[in-house]
Amino acid sequence: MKKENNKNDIEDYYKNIEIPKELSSAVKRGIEKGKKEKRNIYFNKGLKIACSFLIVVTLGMLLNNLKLGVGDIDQSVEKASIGLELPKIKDDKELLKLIVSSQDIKKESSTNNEITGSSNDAGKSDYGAADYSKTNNQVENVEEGDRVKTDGKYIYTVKNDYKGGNVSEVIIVKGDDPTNMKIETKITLEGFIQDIYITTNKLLVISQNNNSLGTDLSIYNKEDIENLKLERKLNYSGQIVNSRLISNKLIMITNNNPFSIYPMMEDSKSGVIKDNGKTISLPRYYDSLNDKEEVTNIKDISYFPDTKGESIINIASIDINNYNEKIKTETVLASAGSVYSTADNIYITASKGSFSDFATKNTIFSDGDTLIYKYSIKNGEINPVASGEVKGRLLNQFSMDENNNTFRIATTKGFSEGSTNNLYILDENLKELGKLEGLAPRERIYSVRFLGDTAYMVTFKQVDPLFVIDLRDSKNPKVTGELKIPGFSNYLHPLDGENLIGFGEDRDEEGRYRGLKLSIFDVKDGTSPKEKSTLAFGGNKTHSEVNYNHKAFFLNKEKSIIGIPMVNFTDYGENREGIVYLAKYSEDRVMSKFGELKFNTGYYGYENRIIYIKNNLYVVTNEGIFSYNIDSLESLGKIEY
Amino acid sequence: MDTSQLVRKAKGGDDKAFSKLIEPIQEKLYVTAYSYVGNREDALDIVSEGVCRAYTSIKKLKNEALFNTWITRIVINLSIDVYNKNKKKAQIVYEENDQGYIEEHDERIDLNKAIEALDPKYKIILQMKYYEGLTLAEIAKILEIPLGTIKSSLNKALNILRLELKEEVLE
Repeated sequence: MKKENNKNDIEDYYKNIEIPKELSSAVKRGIEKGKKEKRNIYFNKGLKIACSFLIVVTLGMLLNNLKLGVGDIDQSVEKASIGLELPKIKDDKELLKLIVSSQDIKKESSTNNEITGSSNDAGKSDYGAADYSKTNNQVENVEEGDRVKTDGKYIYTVKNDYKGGNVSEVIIVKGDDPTNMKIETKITLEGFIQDIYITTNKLLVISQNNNSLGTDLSIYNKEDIENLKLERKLNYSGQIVNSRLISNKLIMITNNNPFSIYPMMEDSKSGVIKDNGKTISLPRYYDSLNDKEEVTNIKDISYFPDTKGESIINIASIDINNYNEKIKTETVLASAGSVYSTADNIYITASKGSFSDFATKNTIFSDGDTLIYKYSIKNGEINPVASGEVKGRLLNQFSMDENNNTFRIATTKGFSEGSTNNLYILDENLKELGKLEGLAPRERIYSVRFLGDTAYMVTFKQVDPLFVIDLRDSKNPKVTGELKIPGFSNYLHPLDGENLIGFGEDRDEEGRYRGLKLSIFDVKDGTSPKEKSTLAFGGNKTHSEVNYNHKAFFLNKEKSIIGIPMVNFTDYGENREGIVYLAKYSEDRVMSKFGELKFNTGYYGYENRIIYIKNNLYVVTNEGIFSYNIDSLESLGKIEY
Repeated sequence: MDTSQLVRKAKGGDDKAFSKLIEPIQEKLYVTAYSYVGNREDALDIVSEGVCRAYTSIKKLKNEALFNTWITRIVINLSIDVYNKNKKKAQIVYEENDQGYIEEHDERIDLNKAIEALDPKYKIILQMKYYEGLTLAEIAKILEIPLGTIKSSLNKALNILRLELKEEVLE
C-alpha cells in the first residue's frame, strides 16, 4: 500500500478542520471581556496593595525560618540524622506564591512516561540467568513494574483497551506447559494498566484511572490463583510517574498538577484552594482499608528552598504485606520526570525552566537544565537528602547512576547545531565533584550506560561515536576511548565484563534509516572499543519498542539468545505482523541470526514481550500468547484472550 | 510592524495592535483548541477565553517575540481543562462509535477518523509537527514534556495511525 503522502495526509487533516465563521466574533468577545476585566483590576488595585504587604511579611518570616531551619535541633529531631529538614508550606497563600507558574501559563502535568532501567552490575545481575524471565531491571534488587511478569508457572499479563475505554484486564495464564496454556483468571479493572508486579503471594496492579483521573494501586492476594482476592485498593490523585518494588515496599511516585481541576471535585470539597482567580487542588488519596479519602494537609507539603517545582509530587512507601504499617508519604513541591532508584536512594529528576521562564527569557531554546531531588528510602522510610542541579537535559533513567556515594549523570545541553554533551559526578549531597563538558558538539545523547567505574555514552548526528569514559577519579572524569560507526544504539546492555550489547538503528553513511541493528561492542580495552559483531535486520518498515523501552529487550544468557520484538508496518489492519528477531552469540561473542518468529499482533500490538520459562520461549502480546521451543523455535501452542 | 513592536504597543493599551497580533494566528489557535476538545463550540469558547487572558496579562510577557508561543500555551492550558471536564462524556461517545472505529477505503485507512479518535495528547503533537511544522524539540519545549516522551508519543500516534514512522521521528 502506498504511503508516500502520510505527512501530507496528517497535515491535510488539520487543514481541513473547518474554521467557523464565528471565530472572528469569538476573538472580539474575548477582547471585550478582557477590557472589562482590566477595568475591574484597576478598580481593585487599592485592595491589592494591601495584599502585597501581607505577602511580604510572610516571606520575611519564611526567610528567617530557613536560616534557622538547619541548625534548629528541635525541628530536625524528627528526621533524625538523615539529610536535611525541608521547610514546610505554611498556608494557602504561601503555596500559591511558591508554585512558580501562574494559572494563565500553567503547564501540563509533566509526567514522564519514559521508561528507565539498567542492570547496573553485569556480573551480579541475575537478569537473563534464571529458570524463567525476570524484568530487565536497571538496578539489582530494585524491581521495576512491567506489563508482563512470570513466576515460572504462570504468566501474568495485561490487556489494555487502546481504543480509549476505561476498562482493562490482568490475565493470568498457566504457562509452564507450552502446548496446553490455559487462562487461570482474569481480573477486570477500571483504568489503563501501567505496570504490574508479582511477589510470592501478591499481585500489584498500578493503573491510571480515567474516571477519577488518579492512580490506582490494587493489591491482590494470589495464593489461590483461581480466586484472587482484592485486599487493598489505594487511589492517589495525579498521574503515576514511576514506581519500584524493593523487597516488600512499593515506592510509588505520583505527580499532581495543582491547577488541574478534577471533574469530581466540586468547589465545596476540601483541599481546593481558591485565591485571586486561581484554583489549586491539593493531593488526596483514598485507602480501601478505612474507606476514607484524605486530603494532604497543606502543612505537610515541603519544598527544597533552592529548587522549587511546579507540581506537587507525592512519594509513598507502601508495605504490601503488612497493612498495619502506616504508609510513609512525602509530599513536595517539585517536578518529576525520570526516576532512578537504588535500594537505598531514589532520585527524581525534572526539567528546569517553566514556560513562565521561557516566555521571559531570550530564547525558546534556553533548554531546561535538570533538577535532581534525592530521597533516602532505606527501610521503607522516605527522607529528603538533597537537591541539586546540572546543566543540560536528561535522556532517561539510564543517564543516571549511583556508585560508592557518588551520583553520576549525563546530559545534553542545547539543540542541533548548538548541542554538546556533559557528564557530572556529584557527591552524596549532590554537590559537584567533577565534570566533563562539551563532548560531541552538534550531537546528542542516544544512550548511556554506567558500569562501575566506566560510563558508556552514545551520541549521534550522522555517525555514532561510542565514548568510553573513565570515572575512577571522581574529580576528573575523562574520555579514554571512542568508536565511530554508522547508526546508533538507543539501548546498551552489559553482556559480560568485556562486552556490551547495543541495540538501535542502522543508518547509511548519509544518516538515512535502513532498519534495526544489534551490535556487540568489545570494551575490554577502554582506550579502543571495537564493534565486534553486528547484525542488521528488519528493514526500514519495522519498528521496535526496545528503542525506547528497555523492558522489551530479551536476553537469555544460558542459551546465548538475544531477542528483539518488532512490528512490521508494511501490513495494516487487524492482521498486523509482529516479528520477534532472535540472535545467538557464540563463545567469542560473535552474533548470528537465530530465527524470526512471526505472529499476528493485532491492531494495537506494538508492546510485545518475549519471555522464557525453562526450555520454552513465549511471545506475549496484548491479545494472546504464542509458545515455542527455545532450541528449535518450533511453534508449540497459542492462547488468545 | 513585527510582533515585538505590536506587543509593545498592545502593552501600552493599543487595542488595534492587540487585534493585529491575534488576527493572523486565530485560525491556528482554533485548530489547536479543536485538536484537544474535538468540537466547535468548546473550541470557540477556548479561543475567546484565551484571547481574553492574553489581553489582560500581556504586560507579564517579557519576551515580546514569543507572543505566539505564549498565547498558544494559554490556549492549550484552557483546552486541557475543558478536555478533562469533558472526558467522561467523551468516553461514552467513543464507545458508541466503536463499530466504525477505523474503516478501510480502497485499502486505505480512514485517516481522518483515526486522527479524530486519537487521544488529544497525541493529536496535539501531530498538529504541531505536521500542521505548524515545529521540530520535536520545539514541541517538547512548548508542551513542557521531555523530548523522549514526545518522541515515543509521536511513535505511538503514528503507530496507531498505521503510518510509516521511522523517518518522521528522528530529526
